[in-house]
Amino acid sequence: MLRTTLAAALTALLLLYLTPSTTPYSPHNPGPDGLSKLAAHCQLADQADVIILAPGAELPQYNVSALRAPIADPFINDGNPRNPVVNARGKPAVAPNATPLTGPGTPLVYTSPGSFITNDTRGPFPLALAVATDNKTIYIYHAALFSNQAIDKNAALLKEVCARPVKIVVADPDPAHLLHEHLDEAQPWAAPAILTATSLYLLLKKTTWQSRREK
Amino acid sequence: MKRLLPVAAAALLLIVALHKPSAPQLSPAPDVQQLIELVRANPELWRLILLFAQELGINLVIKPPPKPIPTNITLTTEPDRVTAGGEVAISGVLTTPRGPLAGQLVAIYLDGALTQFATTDSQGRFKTVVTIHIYKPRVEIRAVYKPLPGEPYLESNATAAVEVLYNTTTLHISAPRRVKWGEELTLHIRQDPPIRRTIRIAAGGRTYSLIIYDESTVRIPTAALPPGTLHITARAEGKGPYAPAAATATVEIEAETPRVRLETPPLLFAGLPAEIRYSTTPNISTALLLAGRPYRGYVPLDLATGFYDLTLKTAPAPPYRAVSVTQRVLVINFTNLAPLPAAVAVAYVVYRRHKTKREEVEKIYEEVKSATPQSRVFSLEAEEALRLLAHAYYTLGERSGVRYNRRYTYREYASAVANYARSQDCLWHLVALAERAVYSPLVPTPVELARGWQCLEQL
Repeated sequence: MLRTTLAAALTALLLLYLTPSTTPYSPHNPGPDGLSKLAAHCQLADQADVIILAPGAELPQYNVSALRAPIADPFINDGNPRNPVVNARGKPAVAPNATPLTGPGTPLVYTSPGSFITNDTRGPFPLALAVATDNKTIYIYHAALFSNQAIDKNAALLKEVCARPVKIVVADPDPAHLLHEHLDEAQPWAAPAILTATSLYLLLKKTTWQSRREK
Repeated sequence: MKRLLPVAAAALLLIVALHKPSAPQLSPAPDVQQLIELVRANPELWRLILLFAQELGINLVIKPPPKPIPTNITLTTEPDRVTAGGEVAISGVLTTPRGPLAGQLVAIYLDGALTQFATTDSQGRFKTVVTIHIYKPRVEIRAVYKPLPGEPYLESNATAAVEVLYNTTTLHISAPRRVKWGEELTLHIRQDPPIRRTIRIAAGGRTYSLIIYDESTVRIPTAALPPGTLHITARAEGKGPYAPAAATATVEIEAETPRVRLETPPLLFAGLPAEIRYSTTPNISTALLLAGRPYRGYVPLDLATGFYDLTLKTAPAPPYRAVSVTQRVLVINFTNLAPLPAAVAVAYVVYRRHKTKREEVEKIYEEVKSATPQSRVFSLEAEEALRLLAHAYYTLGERSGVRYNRRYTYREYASAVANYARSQDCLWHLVALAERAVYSPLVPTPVELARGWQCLEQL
């Protein structure tokens, strides 16, 4: 019974591991709105000065969040009003399904004055902010700039952003995303854990055999 | 376990088939047609959009209406000759074959650069004034009408030229050929003719500005500049009738190289301190990096086994330049190697267990056989039946912890351990087979023996 339960649990974990995440802007999502290409190019870290924020996610420590209201630009876009072309430090970049960032900081990337989230609220909307803290500057970028469908068009921006380790913050992660995140965290401890588990197993089996022989 | 594998494979295939990447959950976007109408009603916003597009080098492509109406624009400048810094009045009329076009934006380009917008009145007339800050003998002025998206008109433009009068000016920089890094660089700047204006000096990514009349001396500290060849550019913007001027100079900033020594054992162990010796002459600030990370007295435990660069970097300290020395070291991490002995140990235990099982089964077989009359000679089939029983008794003995010995009859022992058998029928089939082999002249048939081996699997 114990073996069956363990095998079922391991199979479930293996299935979750093999299943790609469907969380939008997850580094483990290979879909058009995932960030798997970014994850392949950049070094991801838990502590980083460059943060990529997905719509609906927030950074309370910097008072910055990404809204869920999509930006529509009827004039300066990449073939679709929902794919606005933005000003990334004087160079054009594409941000499909972008939403505005809100919070303090200096805008580094922003949409055109003719972009809207409602008929009454128009741009420019910031898609990247430089937030000065006590001793350093934190750079917060909107995830839409680096989605798999946009990343090839924003190669220059990607190169600039990936010069340093990057942290990705998503909203509403699915189990596959969470499992991959935890596995990434546990990776350095995998070898000691396997060693300990193997040793305990061998120790336990040896004790059991001895007690049986004595009978 | 055998059932679990196909179920898992089927579940995996189902997940792969059903897996669809989901789009981000966003609120509904506003209606694009309404947004276009909003922009059309706001010429100022359209102007801002055009400026944004121009900053990015985007050429806005505007689809013409199905039946475009041609437009005509005229352009008049007053005066035709102007001194640089002076103003020129620009006027014109925007018309179509149906009459004048009112309330339309006309873009004014000065020497190819967008300068101003003018709006047409009810008669299609527009006028504005531009200041000429271009120092060319002849400057082209262009008025461009570009209809807003959805407008039924065609684009039109008109060009005029203005003659510009100005004085040329020159700028000279005197600088030493070489300067030691950290010392001051003295630049002597002279302009002709003398005018009071701002000079901007760009050197090594830094900008300095000063106001001069005829000549001036600038002292630039080189400590903040990178050593090597320094290109200096001085620029003076145009001021009134005086044209801009520029001058360049090149200075070699010479730096000295500090002596650096780094000694390390070729083999380091993760989690342990290493005997690394280093020194610099003169004594300047240094940083020791292992695998690109600062070395803090011991090799980081999370470094995997492999070759890494141990680098000693000195900070730039004028007149000494930054240098770095790198040595390749092999880092051994015992936690990475731990699974190997564990795997060997597991393989050894599995082997020992298999060997022990064979010996144990053989002992039980001897016990089972010795419970029969000593004079009895068994057929091969009978021996196989007894061997089957020995296998079964070994398995049940392992589970129950009660080992078979000849004090038990076959049935007594089978009754004692029957609760540990998954299939009672199989257990009793094996017992009956063995009993018949020992006590009956009837030899077990190959079919019965084959079923016995199957039973052993299900036991």
